[in-house]
Amino acid sequence: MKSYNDKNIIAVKFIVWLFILSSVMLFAGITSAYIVNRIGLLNANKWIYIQLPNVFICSNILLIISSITIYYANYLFNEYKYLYSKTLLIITFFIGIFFLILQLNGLKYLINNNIYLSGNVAGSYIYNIYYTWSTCYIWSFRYLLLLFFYTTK
Amino acid sequence: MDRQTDNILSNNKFNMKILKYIFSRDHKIIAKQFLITAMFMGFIGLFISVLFRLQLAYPNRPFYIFKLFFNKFANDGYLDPSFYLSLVTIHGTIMIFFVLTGGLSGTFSNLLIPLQIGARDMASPFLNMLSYWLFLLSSLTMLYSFFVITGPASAGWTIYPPLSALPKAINGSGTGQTVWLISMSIFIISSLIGNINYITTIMNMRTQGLTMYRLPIIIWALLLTAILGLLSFPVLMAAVILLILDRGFGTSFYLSDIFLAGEYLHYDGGSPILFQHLFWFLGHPEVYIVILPALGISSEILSINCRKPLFGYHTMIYSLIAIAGLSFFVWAHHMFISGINPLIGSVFTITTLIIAVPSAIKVFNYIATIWRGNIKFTTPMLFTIGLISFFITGGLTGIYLGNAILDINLNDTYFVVAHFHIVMGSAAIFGMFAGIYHWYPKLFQKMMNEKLGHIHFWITYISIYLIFFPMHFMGINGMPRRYYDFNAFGMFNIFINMNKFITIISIISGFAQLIFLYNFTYSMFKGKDSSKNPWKANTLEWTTPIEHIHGNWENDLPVVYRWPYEYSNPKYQDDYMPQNISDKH
Repeated sequence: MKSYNDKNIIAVKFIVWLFILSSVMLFAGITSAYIVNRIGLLNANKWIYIQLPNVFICSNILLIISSITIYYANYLFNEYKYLYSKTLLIITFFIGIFFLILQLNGLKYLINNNIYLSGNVAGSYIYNIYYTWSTCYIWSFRYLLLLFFYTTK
Repeated sequence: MDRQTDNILSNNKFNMKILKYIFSRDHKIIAKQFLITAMFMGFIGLFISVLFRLQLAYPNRPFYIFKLFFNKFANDGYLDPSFYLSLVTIHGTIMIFFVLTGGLSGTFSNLLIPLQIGARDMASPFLNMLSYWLFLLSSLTMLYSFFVITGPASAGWTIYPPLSALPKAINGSGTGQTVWLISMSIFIISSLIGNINYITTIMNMRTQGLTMYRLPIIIWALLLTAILGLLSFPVLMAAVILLILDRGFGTSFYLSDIFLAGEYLHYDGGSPILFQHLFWFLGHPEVYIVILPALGISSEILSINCRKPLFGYHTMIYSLIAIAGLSFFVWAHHMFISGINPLIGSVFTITTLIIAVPSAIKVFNYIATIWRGNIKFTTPMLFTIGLISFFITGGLTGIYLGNAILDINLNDTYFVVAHFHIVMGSAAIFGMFAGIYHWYPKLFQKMMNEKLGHIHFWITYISIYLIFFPMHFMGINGMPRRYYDFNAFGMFNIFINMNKFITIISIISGFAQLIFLYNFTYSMFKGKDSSKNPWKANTLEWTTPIEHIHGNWENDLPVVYRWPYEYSNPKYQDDYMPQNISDKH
């Protein structure tokens, strides 16, 4: 039989998963809008193909790497290897900074190629996903700092 | 007693101060906060409806009351046509989101989930508190739109673009629409936080012995409501984000090839139908977000007041799950006239008609529970019977509207107004009334006056049928909704007196709600003291002390030995057997 404390810890973890699920649904909404709109505009020959810059591919790779580093940071923390855990958190933090630089470069590329938020809908979707994602990014950055703070403590 | 429990029980430092209502993380206080805010919003919504009914009944007559409240929008007492649309919009928004979503789910999830599952509080009392304060903020923001210079939003509660996407389209498309979107964004966040907390609490914090198949139906209903909200509100958020970008940042997600006052606008490539898809992906589950808690409440009250086990407990659960699941596959039945492919229309007709099956099972089970029961006609029971009556009547017209062939003719007529006001509005509000009357002793330790409750029920019940039943016939005759003045159309002259009749009944019904308000307030201070278990019910909330304590139970948490509907079992001396009493006792 679990104690009330144990139940509460499990519950807090569950809350995090549900927050993730709601974020997934938010992006599902935007993505489905993108798919529906794209099909409609392709049929009407109004869709503009936008070649995304390679920095976005690099930032995606960094995203995957940062997921691995933070996963292992958590794993090592649970194994009481605090120093390794902290090191991985710092690495994740710097990957985050590098990711941000790449994203800004991507934004610069879009502007240099005359792709704006208020232009063709194809471009608007890129900006929309970009900004919505940025909001999530800022939240996760805050979470990372909190995590670092608690690990140091 | 473990640390967490100790913390909760000792964290009562604000108990003696008014501040406890501001900083309280106690789910029972938060339930009261949700209830009172929703009641306040409900009375505003009701008042607005009476005002626009006056306009419909007497379109060429000035009213001092218009001038008194909306001077700027009622020159010499004549209501401005665009402001009429604003009133309709805000009435719908308030009633659907702030009363029947926030009020119903917020109040009863907060009150009942921890109490009926045997938990000290919600999984995260802080998030719970945050959810309420965001709800209040969004409510006040919505009301603030009455004070902006161009008036509140007027694109209907569904805020379809282009009316909602072009700030200069009509008066209500301006700042009022922006305020609407801000308010709704805050509401969605509040709702998501609340739903996450409700799901987590039910899944993780149940007391010993309380398996999923021993949960009261209301908890199942609240769980599924929260899941629906969790999955559908983010999609509405996505729709709102795109709309905000269209309004403020020049994007064209929902706009294309548009002229405004003769001027060609630059928007290109968007589709207003896209918004409808995104909106109704929330919008239809929203109907069930509203009605499921009411159905859950009715299950509890029926069983208690019939002194009988709930008929078909497991099928009730499966029906709820089926309704919740199917509600994600019916949204396009709101869009039959938007030009969708007829094949897709047929698919959505089928899914819509399928959802009638679990709904009918629920109704059958309700009737089977009542059958040969030892019925006690208490006020909550009367409201529950009223709910079932509305659910059947409104459900039957839903079969008409779910069929594309009929809906194409009836869409946007008063038939639709009648349908959803009966099946969703009235049924859900009756569920809410039933819940308030039933759990009032748990909320305020007092009983509400039964005689006043009966008067409130009968006037409201009869009024609802008198108001909405004739609207079916108006709709079949083609009378469109959201029109400001029907005098301009000769073919609707036959309904002039009917419109007046409906308005008079609306006013009577509105006054009947003051009886409820009086009873609610008076009983809080002067009502008869409640006993610990006034309805002789089995669920765990009636095992807590009469006086509220944060943490609910003074000592150890209760252990559950059986399902919650053990009524009139000859095995036991009393006609009820609480869940926490063991057979060995």
